[in-house]
Amino acid sequence: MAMLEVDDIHTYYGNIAALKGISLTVEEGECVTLIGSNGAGKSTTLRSISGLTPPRTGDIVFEGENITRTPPAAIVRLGISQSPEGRRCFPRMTVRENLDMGAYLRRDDGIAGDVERVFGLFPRLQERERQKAGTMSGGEQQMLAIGRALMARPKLLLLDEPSMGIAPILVERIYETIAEINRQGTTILLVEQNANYALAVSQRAYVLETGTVALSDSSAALRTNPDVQKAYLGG
Amino acid sequence: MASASLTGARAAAPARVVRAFLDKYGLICLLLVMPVAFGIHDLRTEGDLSRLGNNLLDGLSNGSIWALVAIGYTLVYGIVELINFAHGDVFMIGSFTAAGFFGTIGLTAATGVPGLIAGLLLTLLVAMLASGSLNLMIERVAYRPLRGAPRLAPLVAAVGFSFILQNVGLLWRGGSQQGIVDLINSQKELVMIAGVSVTHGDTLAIAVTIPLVLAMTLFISRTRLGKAMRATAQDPDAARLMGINVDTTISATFLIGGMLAGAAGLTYALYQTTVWYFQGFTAGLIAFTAAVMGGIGNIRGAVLGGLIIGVIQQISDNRIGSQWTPAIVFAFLVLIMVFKPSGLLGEETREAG
Repeated sequence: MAMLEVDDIHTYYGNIAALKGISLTVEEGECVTLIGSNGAGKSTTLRSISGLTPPRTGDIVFEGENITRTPPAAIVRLGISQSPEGRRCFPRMTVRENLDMGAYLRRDDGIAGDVERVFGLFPRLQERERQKAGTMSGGEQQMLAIGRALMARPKLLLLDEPSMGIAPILVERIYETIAEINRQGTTILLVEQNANYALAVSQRAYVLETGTVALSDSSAALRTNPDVQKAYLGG
Repeated sequence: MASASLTGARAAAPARVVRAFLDKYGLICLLLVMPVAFGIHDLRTEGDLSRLGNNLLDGLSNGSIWALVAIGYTLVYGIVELINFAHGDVFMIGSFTAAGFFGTIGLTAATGVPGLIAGLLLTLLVAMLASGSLNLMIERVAYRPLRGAPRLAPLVAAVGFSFILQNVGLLWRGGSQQGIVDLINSQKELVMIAGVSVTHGDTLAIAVTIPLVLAMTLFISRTRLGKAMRATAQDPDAARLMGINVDTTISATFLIGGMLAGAAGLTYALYQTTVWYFQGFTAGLIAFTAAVMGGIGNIRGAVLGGLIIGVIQQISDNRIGSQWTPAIVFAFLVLIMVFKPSGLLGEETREAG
């Protein structure tokens, strides 16, 4: 059985359907990516999984437990954390405070060790430990958002557009780190408009179009698919 | 060409200097105008500053009551971006509860000092709990169901709840100002320091406010719930993704704001020795002004705003005439807003950041 099973979810903003029947699975240890253009429903899919905008119909099952109507806090506790679109760091908290917020639900004594782990992955954050997040560059904030999501010690990490608005040199660094996080054993569901990077780092991918799954295949196969190349890879 | 632009630059230089000076020190100059002017006046006519000193002390002790109420406005605005117009009336109910509770537990002006202090601490607790739970209830009943609604809906609900509470007050203690027992002998002088008379009332106001503000600041910066409050104020959706229960956090914010209003209610009742169903409206207006003046959403700003308004009121009451006081307070508010639209210690709000 897959770690995460999303079955035919329909999610609405008011009366507007953002997802019109999305189904996907993520196996333990995988890195899976959702690609697609603006408005395809990529972020809404992640918001639905995290419980921020629960789907109106359909089911989301995580490790055998139905979490379709579970509140966000309980979903974090089950082991799903998200680095949201636009980073959403707490601007008037320091880097360290932001990381501590990521561990908000934890009461074990491994938190300090996990801060060290995040600093190991993103040395830049250690240099800025006492700096307010709102004063940092977009790339640094993205590192912080990913680090903060890792602080929950997730089994499944949801990453929404980690390359958005970031200098290309930093995008490369961030993607190397995402691959490293996956190698260390965290399952990842990645949403990205920058399909080049996303298909390079992931094993499987789904192509979303206007709220439905248009195509799904291994990332390697999608990279050579002429339609995908034309639409998403600038080929 | 070149020389013309050079002289232009030279002519503009003094204007720029003045501008930079005003940007940096304009606010401070503005706030110092009254104390300095009356200080000079005192020195010339009376030879010392004791009258101004008394004004400042009375202003600070009055202002500390406004500060406690203003924190409630600013906390709630910071977290749900709603002006809780019922907050002043929550303060009034706190005052009424305190005034009623004195009688119930048998405190009189003749009670000895140890008994009085114990009784007042108990009353403080009761007033804080009453106002805190009332504020909590208002949030649950009137604001939470409207969380997804357009901004105007909870605002109107807040105004409505303010009217409801005023009428509760009217039924409870009637429509006229009611004198209550002067338990602490409020106007009696405790000590005289350099010509400044420190009364029992001043001491009480400051002794209640300082520990509460410190405790609350520590609570918000150190505790788990306090951090959750800050996170929710800065980004509610991100807070949810951290596993914070945003509804609980908002409830806690209303509870804390209400508790501070209850403490202010007790202090007000003892300080003024009268209570009135309409006191919440006027106090609410002043405290709201204080919160805006200090920068709404900013706790230190609310305290600063409360103290500044207290001092402005006292100087104006004593020197200019109490009929001018509201006009002077709001004139200062307008001037401060002109210099710094976000308030004295204002920071960017959620939308701007």
